[in-house]
Amino acid sequence: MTKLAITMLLASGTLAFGQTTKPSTKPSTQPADFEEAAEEAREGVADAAVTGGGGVFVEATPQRVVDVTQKVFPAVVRLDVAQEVYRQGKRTFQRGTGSGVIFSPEGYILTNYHVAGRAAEIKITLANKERVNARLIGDDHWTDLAVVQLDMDEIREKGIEFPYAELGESGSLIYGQDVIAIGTPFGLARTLTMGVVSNTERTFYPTEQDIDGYETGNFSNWIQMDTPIAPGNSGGPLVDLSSKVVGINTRGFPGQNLNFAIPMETARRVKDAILNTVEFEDDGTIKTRGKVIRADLGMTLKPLQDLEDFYDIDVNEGVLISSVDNGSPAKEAGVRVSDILLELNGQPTNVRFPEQLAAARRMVAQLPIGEIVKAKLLRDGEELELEMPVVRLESRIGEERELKQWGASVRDVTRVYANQRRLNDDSGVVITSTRSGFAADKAEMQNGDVIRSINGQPATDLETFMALYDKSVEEKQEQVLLQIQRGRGLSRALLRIEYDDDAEEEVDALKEAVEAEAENPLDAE
Amino acid sequence: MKNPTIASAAALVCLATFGCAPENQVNVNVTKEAEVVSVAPAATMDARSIASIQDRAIASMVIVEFTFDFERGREKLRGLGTVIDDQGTTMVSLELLSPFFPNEQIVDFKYIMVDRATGIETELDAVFSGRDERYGVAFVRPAEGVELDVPPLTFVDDVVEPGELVVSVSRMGKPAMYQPYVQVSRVMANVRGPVPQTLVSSSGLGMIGSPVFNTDGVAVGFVNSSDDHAPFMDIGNGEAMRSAFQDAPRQFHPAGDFLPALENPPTPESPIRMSNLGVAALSGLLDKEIAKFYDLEGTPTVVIGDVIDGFPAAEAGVQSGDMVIAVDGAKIPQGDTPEEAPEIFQRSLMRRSVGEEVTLTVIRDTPDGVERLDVPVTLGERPQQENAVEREYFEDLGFTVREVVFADLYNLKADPDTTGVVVSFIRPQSAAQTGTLGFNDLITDINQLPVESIEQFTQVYKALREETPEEDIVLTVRRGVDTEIVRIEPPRE
Repeated sequence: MTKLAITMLLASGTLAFGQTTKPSTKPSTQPADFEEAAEEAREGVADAAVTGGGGVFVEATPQRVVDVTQKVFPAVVRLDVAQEVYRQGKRTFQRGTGSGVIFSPEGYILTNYHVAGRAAEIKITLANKERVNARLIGDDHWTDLAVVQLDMDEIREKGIEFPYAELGESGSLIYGQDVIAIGTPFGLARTLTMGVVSNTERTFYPTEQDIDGYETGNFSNWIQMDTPIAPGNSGGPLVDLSSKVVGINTRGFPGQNLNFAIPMETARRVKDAILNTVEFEDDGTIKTRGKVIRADLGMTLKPLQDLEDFYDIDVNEGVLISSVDNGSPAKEAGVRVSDILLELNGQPTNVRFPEQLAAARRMVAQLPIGEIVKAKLLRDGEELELEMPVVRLESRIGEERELKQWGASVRDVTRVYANQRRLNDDSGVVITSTRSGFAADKAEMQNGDVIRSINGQPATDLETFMALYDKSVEEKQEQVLLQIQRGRGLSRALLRIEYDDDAEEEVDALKEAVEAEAENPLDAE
Repeated sequence: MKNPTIASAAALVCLATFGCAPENQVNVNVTKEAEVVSVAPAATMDARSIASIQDRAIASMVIVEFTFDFERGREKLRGLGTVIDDQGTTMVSLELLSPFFPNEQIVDFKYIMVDRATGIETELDAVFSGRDERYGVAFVRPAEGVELDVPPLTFVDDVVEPGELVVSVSRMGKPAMYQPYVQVSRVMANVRGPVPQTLVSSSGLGMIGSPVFNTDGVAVGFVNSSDDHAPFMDIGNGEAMRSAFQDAPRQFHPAGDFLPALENPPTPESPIRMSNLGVAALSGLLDKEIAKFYDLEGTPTVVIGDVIDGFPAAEAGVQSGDMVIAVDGAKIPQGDTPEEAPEIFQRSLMRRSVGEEVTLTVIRDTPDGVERLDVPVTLGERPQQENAVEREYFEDLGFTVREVVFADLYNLKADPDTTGVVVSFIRPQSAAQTGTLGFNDLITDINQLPVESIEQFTQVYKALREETPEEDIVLTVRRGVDTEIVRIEPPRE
C-alpha cells in the first residue's frame, strides 16, 4: 500500500477497495475528516516521485452507484460499425461492435478509433433500445479516439429523446478510487461493471503499439483499472462516482482484470480538435472530417532511466534522442542520435522514466507548424543550440485505394513510410493486398511492392497514380507494364487484365448483405 | 545433445555460435588394401584397370588438415586434396576452405600422411595459399622447407559422354585408417547452368575432393560440391562415412571448367583479385509475356535491379532496370531456366580481370520508348570481403567485432563513408547478449566516442574496462534502418 492509500484508509475509516460498501455505523464521509484526508492526500502526492493524481474523490456507496446508472447509463450507446478495410485487393467492410458515450445535446458521441475509425456505416442502439444511424465526424488513430454523431434528422423524425453524459477530469484520479465502466461487452449492451483505478499513468513502453498498422498510444498514458471489461466495451465511458466521464475504455487483457482507458484529459483535447476542424457543406453534409493536427520534428525520444551519470547531467533534466528520421527537420539541422534534448522552444524537458514520455511527445506535437524552433541539446558534455522548422506529423499509413480490375489494393507511400523502408523517395504507391486469380496476383506481385510507373508514366503520388489507373481501365488496356521496386531492386511486372464488369455489382451485393445482418439487434459478437 | 551433421562450412561456422563438438566413436574393421599393379590403358573396365587407376590416383591424393580457431574453441578439420604440380601445390574444393571461414580463424595447416600398413599418421606443415572463387577451388601448399614427395595429377579437358563409365577415387575416414576406395558409375548427363556438372548413375562418386577418371585413366574432373555431404572427413560419429557410401555424391565438376584455375594458383603474397561490376538485385526475365513485349523470347536476359553508386556500372551509365542481353556482342550462355541467367552472367564476369573492359548490350525503357544500347564498362575490383578483415574478441563481455566492409553499409543503406565495427559473434548467456547487442549490429559510437577503426575501438574498449570495470558500456548501433542505444552491464563479481 502506498502512503497515500494508507492515509485515505485511516481517514475514511472504511475499506473502500473495489467492493461495494455496506453502510457502516460510523458515517463514512464526515466533512471534517474528509477535508483532512484530502489535505494529507495532496501532501502525500507531493511527496511521491511520480504524480498519481490528488485531491478529492467520491467513493462508492450503493446510492451513488444507482445515481450513476440513472445519469450516465442512458447516455451510453452500442455501435455496430462497418469499417472500410482493404483485403485481398478488395474494399470490403469489416463489421464490429463497440460502445460509445453521448456527450452533447447535438448528438455527438465519443468512442475509440478502432471501433469507428474509417467507418463507412454506423448504426447506434440507444439506451431506450431505439436504433438510429450515425455518421463519422472525425477520428484520430494516434490516440485511438473517434467522434461520431447521431443522425439528428432521424432523431427528430422519430421524436427520440436522448440524454448526454458530463465529461469530467482525469487529472485528479487517485489510485484506489472507485470507478464504473459501462458498455457492450461481447455484444451485451448496457452492461455496468465496477472496480477501482489501479494506475493513473500506465505506459506500455518500450513496445510500439498499432491498430492495423496505424501508430497509436504515443501521446498519453493510460488509466488502468480492474473493472472487468471485454471485447465490445471499447469506446464506452469510464465513470467516477460523481457521474462524470473520466476515461474512454479501450483495451484490456480479458479475464485478467487488467484494463485500460484513455484519460479524459486526452479525450477532451482530441474531441475538441475534431469538432473544431470538421467542415460542413451548406446542406449539412460533411465536407471534410475533423482531425487532430500535430507537429513533428523527426526525433524519437527515450527516457534517460539512470543514464544521467553517463551523460553527466542532472537528474530530472533532458530526454534522450534515440533516433532521427532521414530527411526530417531534426536530421537536416544536425541533430544526432544520443544527443540529449534539454529544451525545446524555450520549454525544458524531463523524461527520466517511461511514464514521462507521453508529455514530452505532446510538447513536440503542440509546436507551431511552419515556424522555426530552437532546440537546446547536450552533446559530449557541451551544450549547443540548433534551429529547425516544424512540420506536420504524418502517419506511415497513407490513403488506401482499391484497384478492382487489377485485383489489388494500394496505399500512398508517405514520407514516413519511405523513411522507414529507406526508399529513394516517397513517390509511388505500395501494394497492400492482392486478389487471387486476378491480374496482379497472376503477375506475382506481392505486398510491399512499390509501383513507380504505369506504362512508363511515373506515378508520383496517389492522385497521379489513380488518374493513370482510371485512364488505363477506361481504355480497357489488356496489357499494362508496371515498373516496381521490390527490396533494393527495380523490376517490371506485366499485368494481363480481363475486364470484369460484374465486379461492381458484386460489391453492392456484399454491402446489402452487411446491412441485412446489421438489422438484427440481438446479434452478439 | 545429438551431434549435428555438418553439411558445409557455412553450417559449421553458424553452429560455431552455439558450439559444435563432434565425437568420433566408431569402430570399424580394417580391410586389406589392393595390391599395386602397373598402370595400363584399359579398353574395358576390368578390376585390374580400376585398381591401377586407384593406385595412380591415391599417389597424388593427400589429406589436408587445418584448425578452425574461433571463439568457441578449436576444431580440427580434414578434407581431401589433390597435388597438381611439382612444388606440391594442392587443390581442394572451395567448400572445404569456404569463404565463410574468416581467414584469421583458419590456422595450423598440415598434410596428414598415413602409412598404409600401420596406419601411423605423420604431419607435415602446410600453408593456406588462397581461394579462387571464380572456379570453385582453393589451394594449400607445403610450408617452406617442407618437401612433399607426392607426384602431381594432371587434369585434362576431356568431356565424358552419357553412357561412358567413370571411376572416382576417394578415402574413407579415420576409423578405417583413411583406406582408399573406388566408385564406378556411368555418366547420365552433362548439365549446363551456372556451374557445369556431370551427373552420374546411382553408384555415385567419392566424397568431395575426389578426382574422377575416364576409362583411359585420365583425370577429367573432381567432386566439388554436394548439397547433402560435408567436405570434411571424420565429422559426426562416422555419419559422414556412412552417407558417403549409402548416398554417394552424384555429380562432378568437369575439368574443362576449372583448368584455368590450376594454371595460376594464388599465393599468400598474390591472391586472386576479383573483378566487380557494382550491381545488385539481379534477376532473370521470368515472365514470358514481358519477354514477348520486349521481343526477348528465347534470349537469356539479366534484369539489373540496383546499380550501386560509385562503382563501374554506375560510372559507365548503366541504370537500374536495364536488361542485359549480351556481353561483348555474345548472348549470355543459355541455362536451363531463365532464373539461371543472372548467375551465369555473374560467373562469366567473375572470370574477367580487374581493369578489363566489357561491353554490355542493354534494353532500356526511356521516355522516348524502348532503346537498345551498348555500354562499355571497365571492371573494377571487388570490395574487401568479410572473411578478410580483422576481428577482435572481447571475452569479458562476450562479443566479437570485425572491421566494417562495403556489403554491410550497402545492406544497412548507410552512407558509404560510415565508420564503425560490426558485431560478428555474441556468446550465449554473455553480458552482451543480455544487453541485447545483436549479430551484425554496426557499432558507430562507444560511450559517446565515434568509432573510427577496429584498433581505436579496441583501445577505447580496453581502457574503459580497465579504468571503470563496473560501469556500463553504452554503444550506439545501426540495426536495420534503425539506430539503437545498447547498454551492456558488466557482470557483477
